[in-house]
Amino acid sequence: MRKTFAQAPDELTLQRARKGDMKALESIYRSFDTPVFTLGLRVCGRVEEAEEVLQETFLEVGRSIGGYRGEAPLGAWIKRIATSKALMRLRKQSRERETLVGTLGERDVNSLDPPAPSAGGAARTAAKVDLERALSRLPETARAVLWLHDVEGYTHEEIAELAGKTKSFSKSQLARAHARLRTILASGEGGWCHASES
Amino acid sequence: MHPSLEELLDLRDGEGTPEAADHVRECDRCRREMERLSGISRELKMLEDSSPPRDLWPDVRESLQRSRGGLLWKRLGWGAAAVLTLAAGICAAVFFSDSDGPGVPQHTGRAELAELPHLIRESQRLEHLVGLYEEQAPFLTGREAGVILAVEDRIAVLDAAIAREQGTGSSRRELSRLWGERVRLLDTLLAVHERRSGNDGNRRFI
Repeated sequence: MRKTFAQAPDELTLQRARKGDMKALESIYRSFDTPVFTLGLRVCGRVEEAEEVLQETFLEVGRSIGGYRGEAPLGAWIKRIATSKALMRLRKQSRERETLVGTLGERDVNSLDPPAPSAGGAARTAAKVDLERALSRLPETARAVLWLHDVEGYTHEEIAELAGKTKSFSKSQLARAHARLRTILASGEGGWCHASES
Repeated sequence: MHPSLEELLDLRDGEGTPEAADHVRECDRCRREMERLSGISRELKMLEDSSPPRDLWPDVRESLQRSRGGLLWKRLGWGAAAVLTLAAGICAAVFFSDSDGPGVPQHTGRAELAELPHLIRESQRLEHLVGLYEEQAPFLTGREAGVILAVEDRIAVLDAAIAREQGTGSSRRELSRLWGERVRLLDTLLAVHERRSGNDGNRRFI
């Protein structure tokens, strides 16, 4: 069964986790590790960063679950923590990248980019692989906004709040991501025009 | 004039302007682009999830345990003190009951002194059985979980009372009463587990 943020642990597990029971916390970790890791990977673009997001998220979950009162579903609560951690790492990445660009120049820094995440599984369609590759080639912030808005279901207001930016920034980044995706995918649709892209 | 990509995305997300909506209704090209944008969103959602390449739980657990170390030790310290005091109390009770000496309180008879170790053993046995049920079937309905938590909370309160009574050197009669209550609650807890697992077999071992 696919693990998603929509899962809900049973009430007893939740109560035990609130009291600091490690087995209960582990059960929650095992339920949500894949969606948290996937979110970290899509937003940050690197396996190592996604691992950091996963660890930091569950450290925060372990420390704060005693205060979790269930106002939102547990998965939504964990997703928000994971998103916040991923965006923090993204900001850190951007700062490091700026430093590198200053030192090495844009072309050399681009050559340091990791390859696109492995497609994995022979059954995956070529279209999916293309989309995955295109996603990995998007500018970091645009990719993060695209993923959080179009896949994780965050509104522009929520993204703005989490990223410490404005709603219009989030909107323009989403439009930028879609424009770049179209270019990268180069699907031969051509012919469509619009007033401005972002 | 065609709407911008940002306006089309707004429209896709149900936030577009009436003007943009009117335009898209009339313009095939913009309608196709709207469909394409929705398609991209659908395809993104269908991308495969990625599992972490290694198990990170041991690292997370270790970090959590380290950060909780101080608090955990404090709790363990209280628990250990309670157990030691209890053990001392039991030894004293057994000693005085055997010697029947003048130090034995008047209201404490042989039967009551003998009952306390028995109650503690019975409590341990029931706790073990409850633990077995929890390992076998950890998933409960909300109602079952509610009942179990209520009983567990009462046991926790009782444990605190037992530790407190031991610390103040109260009578064996009072301790027997508390341990008897603990056995009764554990018995209730076991009955809940047995009912939900459909096992109403022999659980009266003594």
